[in-house]
Amino acid sequence: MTLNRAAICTIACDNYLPFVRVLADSLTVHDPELPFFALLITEENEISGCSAPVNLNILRVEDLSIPETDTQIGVYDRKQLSASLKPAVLKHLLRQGYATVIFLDPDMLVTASLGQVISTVAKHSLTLTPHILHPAEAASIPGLEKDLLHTGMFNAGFIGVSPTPEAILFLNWWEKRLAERCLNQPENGMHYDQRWLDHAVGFVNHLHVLRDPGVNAAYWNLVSRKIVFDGQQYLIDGSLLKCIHFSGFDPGILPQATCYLQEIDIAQFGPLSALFYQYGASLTAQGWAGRQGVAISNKALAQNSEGYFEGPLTSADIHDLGKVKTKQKGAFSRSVIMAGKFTPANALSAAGIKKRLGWSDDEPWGVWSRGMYSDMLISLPDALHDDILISFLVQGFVPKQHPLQEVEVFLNGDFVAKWVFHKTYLPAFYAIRADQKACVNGTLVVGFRMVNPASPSALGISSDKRVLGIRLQGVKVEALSRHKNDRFQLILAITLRKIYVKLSAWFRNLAH
Amino acid sequence: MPTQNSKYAAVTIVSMRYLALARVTGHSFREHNPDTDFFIVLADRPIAHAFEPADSEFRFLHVNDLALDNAASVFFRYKELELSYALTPCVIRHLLDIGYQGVMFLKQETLVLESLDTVMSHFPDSSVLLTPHLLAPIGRNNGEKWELNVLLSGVFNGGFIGFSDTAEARVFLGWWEQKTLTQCFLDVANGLHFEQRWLDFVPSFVQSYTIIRDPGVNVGHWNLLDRDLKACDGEITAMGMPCRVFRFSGYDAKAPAYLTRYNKDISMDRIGDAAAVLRKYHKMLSDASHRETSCLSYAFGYFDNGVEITDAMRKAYIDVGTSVSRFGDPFETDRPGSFYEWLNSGSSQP
Repeated sequence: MTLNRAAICTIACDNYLPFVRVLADSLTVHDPELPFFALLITEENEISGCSAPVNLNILRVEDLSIPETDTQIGVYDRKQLSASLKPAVLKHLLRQGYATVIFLDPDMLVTASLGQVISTVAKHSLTLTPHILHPAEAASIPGLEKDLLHTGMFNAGFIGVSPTPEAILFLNWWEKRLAERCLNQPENGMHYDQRWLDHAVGFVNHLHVLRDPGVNAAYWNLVSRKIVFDGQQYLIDGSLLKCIHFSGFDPGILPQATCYLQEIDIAQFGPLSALFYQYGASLTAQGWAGRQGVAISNKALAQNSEGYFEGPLTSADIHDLGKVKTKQKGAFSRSVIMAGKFTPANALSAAGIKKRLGWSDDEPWGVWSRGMYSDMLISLPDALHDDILISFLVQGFVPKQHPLQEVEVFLNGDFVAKWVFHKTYLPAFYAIRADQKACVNGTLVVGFRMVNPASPSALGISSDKRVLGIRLQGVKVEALSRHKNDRFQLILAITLRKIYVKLSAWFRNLAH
Repeated sequence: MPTQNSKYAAVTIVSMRYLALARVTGHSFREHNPDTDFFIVLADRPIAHAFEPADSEFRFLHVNDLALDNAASVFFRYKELELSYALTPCVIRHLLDIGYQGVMFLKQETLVLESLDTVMSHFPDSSVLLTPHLLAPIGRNNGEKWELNVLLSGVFNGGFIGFSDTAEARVFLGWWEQKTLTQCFLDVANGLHFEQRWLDFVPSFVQSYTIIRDPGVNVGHWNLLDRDLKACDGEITAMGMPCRVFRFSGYDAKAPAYLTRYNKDISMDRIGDAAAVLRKYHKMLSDASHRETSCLSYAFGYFDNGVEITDAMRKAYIDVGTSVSRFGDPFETDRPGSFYEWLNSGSSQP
């Protein structure tokens, strides 16, 4: 049976880990025997809080045998990097002997067995799903047609391959193009990995255009489709819903279906709206950390930014993983996904956190630091026997006139980290870790020394004379014990995987 | 009505100025496919003295035969070539309407060198027949540049397409027609490339379409350097297959040293055996009176008082938007409330 030789895979940066977990769980429910591989692009092998479903196999970039020079860590942002590695992951799994491999975006949810889909994929070199299936669907959302002309006919959230020579040739070509041109430049014919797929109609003889409304259903096609719930399963235009794509999903904006389009309300999806709420709940349970923690598209960024971003970012100046790695020495890994409760920076006192020195008045989005030094007191519960992780959703004061801000972070007076902010970075989680010793007297003091604060008036931006360093949106405090067992399992899994990779490399060498 | 025995039709669209191109396209098609009716649609006002007795082998249609809504408004908004391109879906639909089971559209600068039976054998099972610009990645230096170029202009070439009379083909044609009658412009930043980019939607919207992967079909400047063209005893081959359809997109008879105005890199000395086809085409054009017909004027290029319509005027007309209908026929000048009058009034109010 083909299912035995099939595999599903996804790719995620640290910010997408909750999505991966929810996807993995959904796959376990409907196709428990299908192996699921997740290429995780995180700074460390630390996947704290991951409840590691049994079928989750973690892949690392170094497992994929791509030359260092061909990966764009350090140039691409997280979205580009994840997208550009799709061909490498697919090729890797084909090389491992799988006869059918399906890539699913991490924000997909499996809602029924993929067995039938896999049989179809197995019969063709390449299987792709169009965004929409009928001209009337193009008219259902204003601007959708033009959007698709810019972003591509096929959605790259679903890619099915089988190991034919032409599939390998196509993946090789796609990988080569993405190594340098996984860019969002519709005016030049590029939209990340996706626009390139339009060439498949010419390059791949055995291309299958999968026109099943139950596969890769998403807001761009659901609005015009007939949705029925029979008590157990969803039928989309009469076809069983097998996987749904929660593109741009944010539980915080429900019933808005996607952050990309305000006007789409999940009420339009009839009975399917319940699934959106369930998905939101699953994500939250798996450590959803807010849309800010998720790589948002440049378009959304331009719409959502309230700070000092200068519109859409280009690949060259976007925050990059490589730099963070070196610049954040001393800080705890940013790949940590918070399971605890995230407290908005304008309501910290409710969580036992006192902003002590050097803060401006609270604002709807959070709070600005004021002056050269700011600090806060964090009260800890009694009888705490574990390390504490404190995460800050933060960005520097980095208008274009003053693009760089450095901040030194102190814990109980000891220097623990240096954070560097650039105007092109997204607000992101930065975390520090306090061991038990630091926690003994029940209160932690976290201090921030602004290395180069500035005032908007001095920079000629406004009449605001405050000297600003960082803008803090929220804080999360959590004990690390909660996930100890899971983490132990994961570290074990990763170690075993590494030994396996090393051993198989050794055997390969031996064979030569 | 189809001629007896002609289940299928082939068609091209030209203004009078390009009549000789249509003659070469049509004649070369008929030479190798004698049983199939060939139509020339005039996107222009016919000029009687330009026709020759030999033209009787073609069937002529005039834009007015297409019975377009707001026809004058469509003719006004487009430049000469844009109009020819914009009419593609309407013309195909019209030929299906009058009883053909399948229609091959060939853009005006085409040379047919062999029978197209293998292509038309896909009628009527396949709703749509298409040829991709590229059948494989471009291995040459800067290959990605040309691949991106194709993504911006459309993965399928709009110069050689076929439609059967099926329900889904008609749905597609109806949608495509809506697009081309209003937005047949070159504006790649907005995803537009005349009529062509909309064809990218065929695999999404149409269940039974066929991608013609014969390297000898629809050879043009975009793929010529990758198709290994050879001439032997007067036979032209592309990657070892007979070259059936050659496209001279962007060819300028006044600059015969180049294959196309779109890519000056492709000069006669770089295209090897393809140069033979180019010379042949050049000769056929002059035999078809290209020099004489290319001097003919374009009817929709002038107001009815003889004033030439410029691009700026067309743009002004398009910018007025939907309320443009209140001007009536925009070509008419000698009545109050005309577009011409508004244009000359200096008023900025539409």
